[in-house]
Amino acid sequence: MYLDAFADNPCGTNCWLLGADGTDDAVVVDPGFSPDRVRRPA
Amino acid sequence: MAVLATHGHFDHVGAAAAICGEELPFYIHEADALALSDPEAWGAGYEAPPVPVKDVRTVVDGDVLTFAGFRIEVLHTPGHTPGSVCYRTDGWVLSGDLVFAGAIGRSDFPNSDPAAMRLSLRRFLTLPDELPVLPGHGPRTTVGRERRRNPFLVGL
Repeated sequence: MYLDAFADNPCGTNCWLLGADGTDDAVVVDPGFSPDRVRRPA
Repeated sequence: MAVLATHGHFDHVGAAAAICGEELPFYIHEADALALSDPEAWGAGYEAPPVPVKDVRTVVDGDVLTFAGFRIEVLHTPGHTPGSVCYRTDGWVLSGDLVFAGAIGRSDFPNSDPAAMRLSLRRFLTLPDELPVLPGHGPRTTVGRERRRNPFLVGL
């Protein structure tokens, strides 16, 4: 499993990015800020 | 790819429309869906613009979502907002603004419910001690660590 969190925003809100190893698929939880930080599949 | 919200506050959903675009669905509890289209009517208690997500799919307690190799169960944990949820898998729980490391979320917004918050915190404490907790703010923790050290959970 891979796990990443972006919290560099004024509220310190965690945007979680989770996925299973070996897949390109991901779950994004709480995308409050910085859409450019969330890597979208092609 | 799936995009989920633990609740409707703008700091958790503000970029949802930009990330979802035309093709990705956005999952949020039915009691917080109004936060996207009319935050004032929803009762946020602060000024926030609407979040015009194209494909909103509402969830309720007990729903199971399968994405990215995960089986994700929806636990409705109201109090912070009417539609606050935790998302649980076998490997972790996303607690949103219910529980943080050493603290809990506010329950003093116009649409908060302190009594419901208390019940939701008790539900959180039924989770296994070893389960990692990924909160809406702050560092990761575990259920057991919060059970032992979080002053807001003592005595519940």
